[in-house]
Amino acid sequence: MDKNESQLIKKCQNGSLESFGPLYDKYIKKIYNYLYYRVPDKAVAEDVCSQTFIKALKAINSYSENKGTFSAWLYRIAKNNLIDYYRAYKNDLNVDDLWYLEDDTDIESTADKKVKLDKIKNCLNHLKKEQKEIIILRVWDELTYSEIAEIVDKSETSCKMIFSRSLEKIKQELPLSLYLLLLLNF
Amino acid sequence: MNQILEDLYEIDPDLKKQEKKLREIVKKLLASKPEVKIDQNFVKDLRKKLLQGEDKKVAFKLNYINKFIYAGIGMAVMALILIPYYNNKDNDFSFNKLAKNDGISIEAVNEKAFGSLGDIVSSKSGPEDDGDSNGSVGILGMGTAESDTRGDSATSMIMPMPARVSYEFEYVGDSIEIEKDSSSVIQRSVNGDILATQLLSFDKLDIGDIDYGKFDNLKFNNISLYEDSDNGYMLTINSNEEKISIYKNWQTWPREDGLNEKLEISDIPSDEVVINISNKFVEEYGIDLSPYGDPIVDKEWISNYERSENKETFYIPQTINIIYPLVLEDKEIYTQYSNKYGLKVQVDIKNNHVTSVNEIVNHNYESSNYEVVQEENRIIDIAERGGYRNYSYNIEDDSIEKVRVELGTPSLELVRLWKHNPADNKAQELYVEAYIFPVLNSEDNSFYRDYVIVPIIEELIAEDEKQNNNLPNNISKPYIGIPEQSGGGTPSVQPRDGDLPRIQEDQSSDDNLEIQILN
Repeated sequence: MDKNESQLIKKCQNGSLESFGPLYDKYIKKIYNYLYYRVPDKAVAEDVCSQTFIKALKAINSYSENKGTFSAWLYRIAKNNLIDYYRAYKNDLNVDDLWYLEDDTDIESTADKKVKLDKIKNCLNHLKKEQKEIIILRVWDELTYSEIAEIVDKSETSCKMIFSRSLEKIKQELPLSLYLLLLLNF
Repeated sequence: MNQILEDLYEIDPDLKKQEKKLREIVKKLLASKPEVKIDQNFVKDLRKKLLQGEDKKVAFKLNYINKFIYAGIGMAVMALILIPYYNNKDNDFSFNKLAKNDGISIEAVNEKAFGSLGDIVSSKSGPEDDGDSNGSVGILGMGTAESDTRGDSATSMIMPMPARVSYEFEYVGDSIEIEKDSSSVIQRSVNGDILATQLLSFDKLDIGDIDYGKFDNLKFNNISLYEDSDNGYMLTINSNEEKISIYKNWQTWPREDGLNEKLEISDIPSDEVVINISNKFVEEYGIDLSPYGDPIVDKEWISNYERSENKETFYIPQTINIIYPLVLEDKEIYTQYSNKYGLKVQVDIKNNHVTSVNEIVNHNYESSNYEVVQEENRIIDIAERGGYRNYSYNIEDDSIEKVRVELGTPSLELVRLWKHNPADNKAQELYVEAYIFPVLNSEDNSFYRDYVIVPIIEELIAEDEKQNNNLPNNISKPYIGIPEQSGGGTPSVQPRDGDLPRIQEDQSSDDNLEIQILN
């Protein structure tokens, strides 16, 4: 964690609310992106995103660098909120259905993408839940292995290994274009 | 394009072999790439909301008990202490979250982050509110005996001496499928020094001829506030445990005539009436119920009443407890002695008002994975000796009546346990997944618990087995008592005639649980 970020967190913990501003600015887009692909629509993404930052602010005193990076801590809160969201609507939705479509793209490309995504999703569904999560965190959320390791509670080496083996499996099942679509997070 | 390709190679170096083809595909993909558009108004509004904070000037951020605070804050001592605080703009209480809830927050932390669970203690020293702190292990006190002696609740009533009965448990349920390798153990996160470090300025304290500044790292633990008005309540705020309790301020309530007037069973109002009184109070004072399930009326005293041979002399309690069961990760919490744990409201059913509210806590938790026991027979073995922390003794005693108790297929819930933390000599509150075996029947209907509880964490099971195997064999078999009648005495039940040893946990040790045999 960079020194500036660490200082901002300490200031927050000492009661300086303003210091949360730069932290928010740094992570709002990342957390929003993380949530965006995992919920049905923009409104839910905004709602879960709001909850994530509100909870992070309230719980800032419980954060310690010993628990990992601030980034991974935020992602964990976002992930927990996501799980809470799916629990609340568990009769209608599945937390493993991570791929939802944006509501502001044209129908044609969306439809085309949906077909492609369905194929990718089908392929990923053959993976174990843990493998799938690591693939998504690395490729779609562009997190480092160090951050992923903290989120999924595994070692960095183990995450790399799982990622690499999972990719091998996917590559065997998907045509190159879909494989790249997955890797490029489009 | 080149950067994208570099990124791809970093993910999968094998792709470099197909660079030409890759370029074509990536070009097409780039052309159709949807963008995640974040609404800038949303970003701006959320930022504003976060940085504005809420009710920054309200001490403690205890929004739902402001009514009490405003009443009690008039106390001279508090004024002396708090006024300097309010004048100190460097202090900002916007983060203070002592028992201020917005639902439940559970943060995942590393595996086995709470250390070894081998030193779990079944009860906690000091005042406890959930009624599971009987303390004895092998010989059980009555499940209804409660260490909270402040109230006159149904469950703190005086329990009778137990009869000499030994229960033989038999599991008659379906096969137990153990479907996972690890389980999340949940710990309530307690900051512990909110009042201590931020609220109070001891250098301004001027009570008595004492130089407070000479005391090193002086902190507040508890403060009490009271309503200085008729029919008032008082609050105790425990900073260390981040818990708040509300009690009737007896001095401000009219003295009751006919104090000894005995209630009859026909005087007991319906559950609906009692719950309505409780709900109304909870709502009026803004206590957040979102972490809890539907309220239930504690019926233990009724079970005892029904079992009693002499109902004429049975003491019908004037207060009844309502439990709002805490729900974490879709599971209800049980105490080790099978009561449900949660927010507890005590209602005076004679005068129709609330006399106390206990276990108002923060709901910030951490969860950490622990290995789960994989052998069904080990779970059932413990269930068939009466559950976790009930140990088998091998010496037969013909004078003790044997009663068979059947246990049904368990559900997976959470049990509340305490772990001793040697670092600060405090007890940590843990919630551990456990099988809850329903008691289907007992031959004479005397067994007073509804459930037998067995946690599923390997370390706990192993420790429990070790304790059981290490027990001496030359003592009489313990029994679980039957409430026969009400009477005087202390809440905790001891074996009669002094013919059985008492077994107590030694919580002073940092090592594993020790069993002491006391004569």
